[in-house]
Amino acid sequence: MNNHFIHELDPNLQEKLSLLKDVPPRDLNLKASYRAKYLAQVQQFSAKQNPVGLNAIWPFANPKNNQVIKKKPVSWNWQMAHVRAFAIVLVAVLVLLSGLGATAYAAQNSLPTSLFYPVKLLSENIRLDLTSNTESKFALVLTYADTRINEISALQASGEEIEEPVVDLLEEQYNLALLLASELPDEDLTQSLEQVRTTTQVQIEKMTTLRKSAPEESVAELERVQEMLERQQYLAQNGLTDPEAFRQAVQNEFKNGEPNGTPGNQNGSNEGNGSEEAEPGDSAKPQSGPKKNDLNSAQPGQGFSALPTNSEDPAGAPFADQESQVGTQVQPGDSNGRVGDGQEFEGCKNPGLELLPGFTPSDIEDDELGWSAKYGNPMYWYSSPGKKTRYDLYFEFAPFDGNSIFIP
Amino acid sequence: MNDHMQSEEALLAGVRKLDPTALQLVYDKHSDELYRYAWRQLGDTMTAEDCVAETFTGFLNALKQGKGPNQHLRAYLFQIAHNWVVDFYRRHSQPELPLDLAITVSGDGDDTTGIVAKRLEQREVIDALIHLTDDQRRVIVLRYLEDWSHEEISKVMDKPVGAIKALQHRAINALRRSLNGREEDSDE
Repeated sequence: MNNHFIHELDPNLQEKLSLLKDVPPRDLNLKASYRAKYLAQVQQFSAKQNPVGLNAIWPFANPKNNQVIKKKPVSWNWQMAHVRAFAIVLVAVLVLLSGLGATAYAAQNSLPTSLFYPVKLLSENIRLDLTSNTESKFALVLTYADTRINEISALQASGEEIEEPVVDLLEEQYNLALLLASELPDEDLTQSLEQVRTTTQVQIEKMTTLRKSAPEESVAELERVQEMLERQQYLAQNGLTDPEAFRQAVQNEFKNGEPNGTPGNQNGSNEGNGSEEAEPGDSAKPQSGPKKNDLNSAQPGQGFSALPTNSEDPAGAPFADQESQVGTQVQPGDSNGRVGDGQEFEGCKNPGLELLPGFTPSDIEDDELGWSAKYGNPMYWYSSPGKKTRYDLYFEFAPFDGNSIFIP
Repeated sequence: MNDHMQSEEALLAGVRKLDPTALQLVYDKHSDELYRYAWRQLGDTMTAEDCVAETFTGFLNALKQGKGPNQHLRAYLFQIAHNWVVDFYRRHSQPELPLDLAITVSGDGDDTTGIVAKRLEQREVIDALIHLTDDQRRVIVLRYLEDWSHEEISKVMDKPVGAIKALQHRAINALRRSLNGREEDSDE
């Protein structure tokens, strides 16, 4: 087996983790018997008729199927959904967009919760497409990213929750900005990256303020925004010191119109340059050393530790795409765990969990009940593989080790 | 990992057509790596085998209901396995998984001590991993034990690559802390 990435770790960790590389060989008899059972199930299964055929003809028969894997770019998908629904209205509005009063105004200042928002996004994209000059395009998309930040602020101010697609779009637009910058000659690149740096700085400060007054449901997304901004800043900073490495890194990661690029092609080139990740030779340092400094100095007391001493558990970031458990009640018992918003509690077993408001178990399809219902606990569940529902509860489990800190 | 992706697509096509040969191939192709993935988080053979079996059952059930992977077959299977492991720990507050000695003892009698020692060491690391958050553990296992790229991990965890990297960073710190904590304990 390759040992591509383990070099990112310090030698001690490398050694410890390498211990787990050596999995005891699978018992062949066991394997054969389980395999046979599986094949029996397959035979049984194929003999029956099933409704998948219908699905193949008309994939929209079961709308939830379409949400299996989140497609990128998210912005287009999101728009497409709205466009289908409001097709006629859109055509009319586009005609009006050429400058007439109320409708244009409504679109331009609309928030993600507004009906006109897709129109706003559409017009942004049209403008981008029409701009051929790279530098102008860069400036434009940067203003759009800033608009996203303002939208997020406004959403919060009006008591709305910050939802994932907005943050996704923000990230996408920033990635595009960096990509465009990377196509500029050195002089312009420097100027552009400076702009990114100052812009993100302001926005990070805004985020920090916002987070203080944020309701629980939004904290995770806001943290995600902040992390993303810090990362962009970090990339921009690197680009200022080493433009060539920056170009390589950014184009490898962000090209093909997808933030993730093509899997499998990235490893060599991404790992090969120093601007994003520590070189394999840097295994003495923790990976992404400079980034660590940024994060720790930017928010002292944020604590990116796994054993949180405060309720702002950085594990909030993993929850970014899942709803935290709202109104969770916890009963004392003999094990502990960590509830979705990162609070850790001590001595609780099978905590009683409240359903999210407005949601009942019968609303969930059998598939989504997944493993929890199977094991007899109807109170919490998580999404089926590859699926995401708004109502996923995410419950983390860590065995009680006597050292947990109780957060009342 | 590249050819993994390509043949996976072909396999997926057969799977969606519910072709028995394709379904068998899926097992043959992925069950071993799923087993390894499970074992590395559970440290026990039987439990790992259960996990793999239930993963494939869940996979068939999903297909039966017209669901199942639209794109990434491998990621899908790993997701089911992941959910199983999470649920396992949820149901067993303090899992007392035995040291996985059954297989080894029946093997070379000479090196039994060495093998036992190794299992003890492995157990320590697994226990340390258990102290991580779910997502952190998953990133560690996928990245450093399964050698997945950030993009692949991002797909299975359905988070942007940036978040994966942040997770990785925290996971490493957490693991380090967890392991150091254990070392201090054992010195007492």
